[in-house]
Amino acid sequence: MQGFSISARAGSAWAVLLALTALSGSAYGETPDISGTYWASEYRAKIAVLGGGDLPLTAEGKAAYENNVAGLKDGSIIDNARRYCVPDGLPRALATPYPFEIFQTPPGQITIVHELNHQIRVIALDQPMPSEKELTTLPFYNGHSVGHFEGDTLVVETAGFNEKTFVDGSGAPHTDELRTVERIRRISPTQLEDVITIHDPMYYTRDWQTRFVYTLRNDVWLEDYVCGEPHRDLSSVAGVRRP
Amino acid sequence: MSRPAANLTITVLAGALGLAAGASYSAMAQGAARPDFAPSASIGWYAYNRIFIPPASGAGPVQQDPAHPYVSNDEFRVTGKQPTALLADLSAPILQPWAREAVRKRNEMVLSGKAVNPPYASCWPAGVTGFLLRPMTQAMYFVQGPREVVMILSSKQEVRHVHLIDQHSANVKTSWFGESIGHYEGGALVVDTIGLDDRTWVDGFGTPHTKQLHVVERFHLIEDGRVLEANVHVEDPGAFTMPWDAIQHFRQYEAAVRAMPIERIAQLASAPEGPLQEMACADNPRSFFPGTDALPPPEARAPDF
Repeated sequence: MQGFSISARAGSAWAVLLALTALSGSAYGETPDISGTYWASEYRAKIAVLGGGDLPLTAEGKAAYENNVAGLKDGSIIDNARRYCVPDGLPRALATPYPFEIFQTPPGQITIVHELNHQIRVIALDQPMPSEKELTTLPFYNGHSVGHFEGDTLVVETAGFNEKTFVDGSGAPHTDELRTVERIRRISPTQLEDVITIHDPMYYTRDWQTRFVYTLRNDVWLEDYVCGEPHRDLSSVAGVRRP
Repeated sequence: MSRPAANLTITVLAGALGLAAGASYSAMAQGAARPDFAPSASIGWYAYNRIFIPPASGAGPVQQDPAHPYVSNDEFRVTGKQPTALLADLSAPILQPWAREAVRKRNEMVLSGKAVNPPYASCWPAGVTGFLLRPMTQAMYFVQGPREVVMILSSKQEVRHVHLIDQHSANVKTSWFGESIGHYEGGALVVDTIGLDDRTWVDGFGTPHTKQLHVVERFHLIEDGRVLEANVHVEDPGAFTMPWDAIQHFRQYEAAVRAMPIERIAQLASAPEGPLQEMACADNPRSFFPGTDALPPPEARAPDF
């Protein structure tokens, strides 16, 4: 998956990606254990495209980005994820400088509990994506996720996002046609990798990826998180700047 | 490109480096007596009532004033009776004078016709024991991991963490849901919680507590697994004259639906069936009870990072 790149805007390339990810995890034997508490060691407000370069914005995407940046600066646009602590959306939620936990339970589900904004992601295992009608009628901040194991990797497809979030902390935009595929795996006994592919043809000229690495920290307990109150020390996370 | 936004904002959810200081796995945590509160992702739990059930004997929780019977919104949906507000019976012997005065003031506001909205109605955490009275119209879900049990209220996406260890931290930090440790014992999940912030209520009557609050809950299944019972023991020498006990019942969502005629299901203010879904409490932060004394929702004037 790493290095995978789709240059076409057409959905055919996306279909190829989904077909590649649709292999049954059962073919690979026992379900891998990716459970635990994880914490990033660095934070970047601006998302970094895997392989380098700028975000491959379309003209419409560029205009939306510029509008977001200007609005966030002059206060006409509010970053509700930071102001009112609503969910961050994807892929921004993955950039969290706070710890999070992965549970491989209840049966048939991966449950990800974030300290930041007490966000919870529910990933239905080996289930089809909800219908287009449901995705359209009930869009979520963090979208609707389905997943399966492919060897040592949890593959998560997410769609049905609302348009209230940013791709990153700088205001990079997305539409409600955003779809993502994450490949989540342990890359060492103490490290978890999440490589996410972004598909949003209205705002991006091609699918692009970004990568996050977290350290297993089962010594850390998640804390209560209430907007506007003091929260845990993030000095161990490089790049965090608190006002 | 644009899709219609739903008005109903169901925006809606080994290599260990060591455990927290001084803690160790409880042997009971892995014992055979572990009840399964989440046999599938679709199993959620709904509270029967917003008022704790008193124990068969001994000191119990504050109850509704018998002169002003409580009619919940759910009862209204079934019977058509006019819903009424929670109004405390001020004769409750467990209340210390200052706690009774706090409850009395809330009663006065209710009787004067003012809308009295609890803090959790504005997205503030319900705390413990208030958490147990919240999953009324949206389910409570359990995530039972090997090291930790997570309890989630889908309606506000509130999360309680219960660590399956046998000792509290040496220095417990005060927080909204406190520090909960637990173990499995005789078919029950036993949860011991201390370190609770004193800004929450222990019930819907506005009964206050202090930071000395200590709560022990025993969660176990009854009625062939269709009902979850929580036996609650409460001690707080700062607010109560004596320890007291309470009971809460939760019905299993799927079991309740199976046993109910379809015309009745429509009268429940239920969440969509199935697994936990995302919900963002502050999705519309400006419309919470305008013109009332309700707290504004939590807000960060400056971004956290």
